[in-house]
Amino acid sequence: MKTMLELKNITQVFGGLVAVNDVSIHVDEKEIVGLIGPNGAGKTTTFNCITGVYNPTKGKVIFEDRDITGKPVHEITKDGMARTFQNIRLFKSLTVLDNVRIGMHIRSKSNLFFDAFHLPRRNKAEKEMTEECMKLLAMTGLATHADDRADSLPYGAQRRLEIVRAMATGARLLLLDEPAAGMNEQETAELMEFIRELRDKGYTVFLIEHDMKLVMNLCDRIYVQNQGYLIADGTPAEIQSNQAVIDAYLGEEV
Amino acid sequence: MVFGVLELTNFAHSSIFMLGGYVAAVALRGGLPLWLAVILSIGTCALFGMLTDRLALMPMRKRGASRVSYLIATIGVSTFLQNLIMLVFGSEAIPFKEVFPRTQFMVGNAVMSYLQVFTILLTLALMGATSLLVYKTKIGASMRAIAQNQTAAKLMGVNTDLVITFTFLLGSALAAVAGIMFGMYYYSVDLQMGFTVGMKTFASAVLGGIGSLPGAVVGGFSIGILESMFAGYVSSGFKDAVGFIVLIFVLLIRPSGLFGQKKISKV
Amino acid sequence: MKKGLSPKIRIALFVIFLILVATLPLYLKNQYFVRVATLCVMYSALALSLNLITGFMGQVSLGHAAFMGIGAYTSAILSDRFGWSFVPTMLCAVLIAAAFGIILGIPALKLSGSYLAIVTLGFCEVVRLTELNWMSLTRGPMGMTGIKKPLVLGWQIKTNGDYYWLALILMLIIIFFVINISNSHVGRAIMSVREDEIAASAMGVNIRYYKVMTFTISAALCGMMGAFYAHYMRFIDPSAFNFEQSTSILSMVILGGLGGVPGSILGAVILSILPEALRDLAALRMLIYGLIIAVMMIFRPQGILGRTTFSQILGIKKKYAVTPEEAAALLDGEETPYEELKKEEQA
Repeated sequence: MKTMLELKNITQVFGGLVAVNDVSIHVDEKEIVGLIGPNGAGKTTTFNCITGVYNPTKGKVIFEDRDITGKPVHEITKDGMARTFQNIRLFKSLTVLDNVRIGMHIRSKSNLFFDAFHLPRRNKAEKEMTEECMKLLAMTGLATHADDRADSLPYGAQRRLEIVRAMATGARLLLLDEPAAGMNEQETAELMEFIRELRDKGYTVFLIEHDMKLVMNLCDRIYVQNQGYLIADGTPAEIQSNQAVIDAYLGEEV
Repeated sequence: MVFGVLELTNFAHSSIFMLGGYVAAVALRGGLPLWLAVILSIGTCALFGMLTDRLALMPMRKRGASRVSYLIATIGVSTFLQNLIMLVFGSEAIPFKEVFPRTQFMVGNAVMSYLQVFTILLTLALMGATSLLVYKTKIGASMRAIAQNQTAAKLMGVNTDLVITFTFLLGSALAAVAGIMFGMYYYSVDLQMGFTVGMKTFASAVLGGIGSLPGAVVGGFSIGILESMFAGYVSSGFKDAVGFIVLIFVLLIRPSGLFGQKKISKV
Repeated sequence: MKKGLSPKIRIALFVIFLILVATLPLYLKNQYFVRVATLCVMYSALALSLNLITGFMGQVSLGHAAFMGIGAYTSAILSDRFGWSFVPTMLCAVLIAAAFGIILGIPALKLSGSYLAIVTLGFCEVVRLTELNWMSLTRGPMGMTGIKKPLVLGWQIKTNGDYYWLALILMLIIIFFVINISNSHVGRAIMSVREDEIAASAMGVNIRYYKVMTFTISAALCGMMGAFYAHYMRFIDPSAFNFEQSTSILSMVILGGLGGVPGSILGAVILSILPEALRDLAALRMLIYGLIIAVMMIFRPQGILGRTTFSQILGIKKKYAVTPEEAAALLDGEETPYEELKKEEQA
């Protein structure tokens, strides 16, 4: 199987604090990989190193055999990787449809010139883009809310919208930061189903999650991070019986 | 100071600084003794600072307004105050009565005047008092708490509104002192002073690195020296532009300033 | 106010309104009113230019009077020294204002919020000082007088009515650009920067590029109106392009509504008529502007009209939401963007 994303000895230091310490991770094509760990373990920081928000102090990020370490965020997105955020970062006062259309931004066939003069090429690009976005919204049951403000959606729907927005960029690899946070059991089950569908459609998914049920049922492999370090990796069964992991969670049910 | 606590640049601050200078200048001209003029000036500024917060910014905090709204609101207040000053005191520069004799004396090789000594001593004293207040008192602790996290501070039982208003009051009082010193130094106050000084302070802060105290001092000196050199060798008409030009170059070459650290954005 | 009316009636009313606006000099015989109307149109155009950067992108600029000044001086000097006609001088004004937009934008837009406001304010002051001190070029504080009445592609502007129409044409050009840009993928990218910079860059929006681009367009449009201002007033001096001018334009945008086209026009019209109506209180003008800015931010930060668009006022805003049945139909044979891209690559 082809390796899609590879982290080589990533270290991120803030001032004196080592937030991510010598982390090496690989994610293969069409895999669903989880990253778990207690709060403050450095999981989101690891994501930020991958997506270019931070430039890692040490180490390399390889995406599809290309070194993307230190590239700007927007270029990494163009390379084919998109993310969602732990604390939902939708474009709140814009409509649901516009949120997805912004996701499709980099693939637009129009540009400033065609836009400013309202030329046919802009109209064609706009029409195609809107159609495609509506289909994406339909996939997640959000098409009926296309004209609503993004922040008027219920919490679970906002999380789904963030995933749709990431998909709209045309990414092959989706990084989901706690996609099930704040969801009830029903919504979580639907989300799991949705992520499985994504994999069937050819997406690769790398996710951070606290919901153990979701992680254990969904992921092919799991990495466990604690205080910056990776302390374990393996299949869900291996992780559940790993003593280091149990210690890290200190009695929490794994 | 207000900026440190609220992460909010207060455009109205430069107008309050100007107000301080004007009130003192007019009071001195009217024959009041220095101490009374100073108290009057500080009192007026503190009052206006408090009003700015209570009338304009507090309702916005209640609503959870965006940062841009705060910024625009303080621009509005600043414009309002500036024109109020113009209306009340007229648009002519007002001479500032001499308080200290102009005689100078030598310290080693440097020529100093009483005024300069007084300015330096007063600045040091105020800096000391302010740090004492911020680091040693209860209200100072509350200020720092709010600077860290407003919501958390509120949950911990800090009366955020009261503390923020107090911060404004204090900041405005300090601005009044600065306004008076400006008047003493240049022997007059005018409508440009708020803008010019605001711009220079900002340029110094950026040059030195935002949030760095030694940076601000070094930045301030560098800008001052550059300005005099520019006025002497090139053209005095452009003197006030120097700070700005330096600012643009700093931003281009080293946005974090001389001593600043790169800010980490949280995601 | 027009709630409940069907789109047809609204459009009919709107067309009547447009005709009234377009033919204003024909029935308005009082020349003073025509001049006020011209001012309204000119400030509407300036407010729209500023709204692009401050309303749509959320970056506060206090330097737009400087771009207006750069446009005005460029146009006046070219017309005065070289005898160029209005259209080429205006185009040069646009280009030079745009060039300054880029020069200032690249370093200044590394900053945001109040820092940006201060830097643009400083820029405004530096440009004013330059205009004041570069005597050989600008005649300094004496200003430039006797700027020619414009000749626009064979149309010699003579009367106040002609000026009004010229302003109207320029404003329509600006409305055309602003509406087109805001309704397109470029416009959405601009708004995404206002909403959330981090999320925008994660969606592939090159923030710096868009910031500098928007700032430049905004500066260029201001430069264009500056050229008009110079030929309309036929006298310019540095004091016309100071910080107060920037604040005036800003207060129009805020009064009308950040991020909406009809709002900017309404705000500009109100604040252009107000000082004329309150002639006796001329000294209070800036005081009132300052108060309007602060009061609006406290009680109605979205402005009078907010982000309302023309199509919303006319009730013809396109709806995209579909019924669940239609949504299901959309899904037939659906492919994800990734699958589609793969296919395109193979093809």
